[in-house]
Amino acid sequence: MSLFKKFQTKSERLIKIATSTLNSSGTSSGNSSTSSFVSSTSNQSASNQASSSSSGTSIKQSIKDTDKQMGQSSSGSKATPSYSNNPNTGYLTPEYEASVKQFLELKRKDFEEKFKHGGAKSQPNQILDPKNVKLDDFELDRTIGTGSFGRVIIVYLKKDKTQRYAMKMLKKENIVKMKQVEHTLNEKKILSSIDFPFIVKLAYSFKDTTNLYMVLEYVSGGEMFTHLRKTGRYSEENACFYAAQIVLTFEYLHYLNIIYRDLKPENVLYDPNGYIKITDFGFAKIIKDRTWTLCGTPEYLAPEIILSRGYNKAVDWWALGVIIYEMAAGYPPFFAEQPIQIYEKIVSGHLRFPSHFSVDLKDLLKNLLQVDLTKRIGNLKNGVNDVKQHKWFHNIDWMAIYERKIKAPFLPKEEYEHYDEEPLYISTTEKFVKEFAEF
Amino acid sequence: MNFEIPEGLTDLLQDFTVEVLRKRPTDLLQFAAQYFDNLLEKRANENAKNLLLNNFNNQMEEKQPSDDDVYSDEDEMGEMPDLPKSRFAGGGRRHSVAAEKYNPEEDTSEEPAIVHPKTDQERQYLIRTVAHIFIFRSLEKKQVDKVIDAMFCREVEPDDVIIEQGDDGDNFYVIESGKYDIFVNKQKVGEYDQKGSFGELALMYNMPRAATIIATTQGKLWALDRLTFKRIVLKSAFEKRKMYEALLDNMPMFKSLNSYERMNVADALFSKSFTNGETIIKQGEQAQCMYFVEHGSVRIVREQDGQSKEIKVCHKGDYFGELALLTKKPRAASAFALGDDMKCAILDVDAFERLLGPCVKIMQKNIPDYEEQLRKLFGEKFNVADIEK
Ligand SMILES: Nc1ncnc2c1ncn2[C@@H]1O[C@H](COP(=O)(O)OP(=O)(O)OP(=O)(O)O)[C@@H](O)[C@H]1O
Ligand SMILES: [Mg+2]
Repeated sequence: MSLFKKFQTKSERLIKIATSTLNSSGTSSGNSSTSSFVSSTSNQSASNQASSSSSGTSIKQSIKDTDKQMGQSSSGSKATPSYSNNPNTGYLTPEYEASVKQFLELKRKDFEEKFKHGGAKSQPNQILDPKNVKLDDFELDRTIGTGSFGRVIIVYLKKDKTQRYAMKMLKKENIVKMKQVEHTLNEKKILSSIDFPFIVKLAYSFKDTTNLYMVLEYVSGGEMFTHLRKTGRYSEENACFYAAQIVLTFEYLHYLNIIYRDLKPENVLYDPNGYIKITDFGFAKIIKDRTWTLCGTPEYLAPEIILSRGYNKAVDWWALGVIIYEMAAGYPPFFAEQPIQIYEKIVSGHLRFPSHFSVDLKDLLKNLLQVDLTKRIGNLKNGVNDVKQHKWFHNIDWMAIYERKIKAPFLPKEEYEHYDEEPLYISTTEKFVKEFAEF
Repeated sequence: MNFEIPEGLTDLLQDFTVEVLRKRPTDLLQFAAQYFDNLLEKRANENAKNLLLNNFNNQMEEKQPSDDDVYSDEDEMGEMPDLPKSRFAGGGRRHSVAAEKYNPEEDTSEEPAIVHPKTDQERQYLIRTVAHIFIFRSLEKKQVDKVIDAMFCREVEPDDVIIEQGDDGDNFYVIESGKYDIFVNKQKVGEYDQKGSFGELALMYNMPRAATIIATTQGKLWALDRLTFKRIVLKSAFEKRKMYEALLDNMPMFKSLNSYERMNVADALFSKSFTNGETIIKQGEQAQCMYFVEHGSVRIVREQDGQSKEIKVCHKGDYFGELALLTKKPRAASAFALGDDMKCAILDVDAFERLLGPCVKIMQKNIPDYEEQLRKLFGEKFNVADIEK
């Protein structure tokens, strides 16, 4: 029985105790209102107002398609829970895993097709002609984020003021100076070819003489970073809800052979339903087997990146460990005044936990923040399933998360950071044409 | 019925009820939601304040009782950690970092390594100094030698600015002699006297320097630039992987692995050196690893009826002890290093199985070939069927 239910069944008596100490009237109304208040904030129950997935094909749909192809009905497959003590994990059956694989296979084909042609030809709901977008099509509102080479600005479509976007503007000169041309080209190409509910969508991209522009769907709930710092830390249950979405996103990306490389609360945004959208594909890359270039964010770098040994997708699983730790503790597992000291801690292999961490959480983190690659889960023979099947996730109904049927821990208000505005400068002479020809 | 009243519940509901009675809201539910929401927000703000400010000031003793329930980290963390100002204060959003692209797989330039000559004494001094720095600690001796070769000398005069806060960082420095002042935001924060090193972050990626360092006397520094360092370290990491993968390729039963799997197995390999005559495998001991000869030779010897018989000598590229992949039964023979400077790449079977699952499954694809290998190594008497259970 969940803690919450225990509370609910006993709430009646508790209210009596509380009101008797008050020695006042109104006992009965206090009774009913308090208990219904409590149940309305419960996130155990699936919400009625669940939003439908924003992704084109749903898992269920593709499963149905697959079943049809294979000439069997989906009701015919019996679900045998692999975790008998919890009904939710009936999800992780071999049949289910097979359908996920089919689903991912479809997604991969879709991605590869788009990627080959330099990104999707057009996105749903496009108002502008994607081939012919220019800065003048937008009204710039305010800066809501700054990054290493430029800024992110809220913009409105002049043609239709109800259409609001987040425009990431990158100065070509800065990109060239910081030798990040290739990373930026990857960002645009990958972002315009992928499609997943927990990844921010690219609506348009274009360039002018001075800048590159990526017009992204505006995610209005602000950064996990801002919210987490304000809250202090998240309960493990809430952290688990967000972590599950990251796990599914990595499962998707890795299946497409994409390594993400910049997980951190600053790059995780909340949509109005309280679900996450991962933004910033600045370091995303298609990799065959391994890659070599050091990149990421200091607190989140895996030891093999720091030690220049060549690395692979396993670095994303490491970063998942870091973000879960940071959500549940309120601070990251490795921190210090100077980056170089952070790196020293990361490669040392020492990991300490706050005493409030549960046994399961500690076990999960030991396996994700594992320096030995032959022991880091996500990287082993069962791949992502070792993560999904971990006890810490045993309450997670993966399908329901994907379909956004679980009620989120909180619904964010619109939120953004405030930044100083800078005058926009567009040069009259064309800059770095060759470098960014692909963009 | 027995139940526990959570601490604070009575107060919480009492306060709430008082508030209801006082305000007489028409929509009770809405009022309650708002009321508790406000409480949550208030607590969140307090937590954030405590987390981000109090801790910086090392005011742990004055911790307010109200946040005890939130941070009771004493047991395992010792105490709630002091979070560093530089990365947590004032918003504290953390920006990404990136090195310039260098792909050792594409670097086919055969240009000879740069060598800046040094006396033995200078070399020894540099080796001792960099041994304390973690980026160098994980390097092999060969790599350290190359890195030391690449370090170049810089003589300095009093008032020379070695690095300046905010400038690009491209070099790492080791002090051989001289005195230096350290400034952060024009404030002197420390000094180096005849020893020490600084700027190692520049070996990882370009970041504006965090401090200014100015010589106060004549002195001598050794410098190393990032690109040279990366080239040495990444190229040797790449070559080592290539070498490991080539060793794996020599093993017929790994032929069926795809390139991603092979790469993972290469990740699991580690090298170990042996001296002449040293025992690598002891007959009768439980099998745990298989071995590839990376350098030198190995004698395989079998004890039988009180006699020891040399079965075979393995050379560079050969492998032995591979039966461990299939069974943990006692070793059927011993292996000894032949000559000094013998080096093996070792594959731990448990690591292999964690990455790829039991080897038998993979190998069954190649069984006929594999039996032949077995007979070659262990003689006709060896019974393959033994291991397939
Ligand atoms: N689609 C979006 N909707 C709302 N806000 C966004 C969106 N995309 C980005 N932002 C905001 O802008 C910030 C910077 O964007 P982004 O991370 O893509 O830039 P960056 O230059 O790659 O940053 P860095 O290199 O520091 O990680 C984000 O942290 C986020 O707060
Ligand atoms: Mg970012």
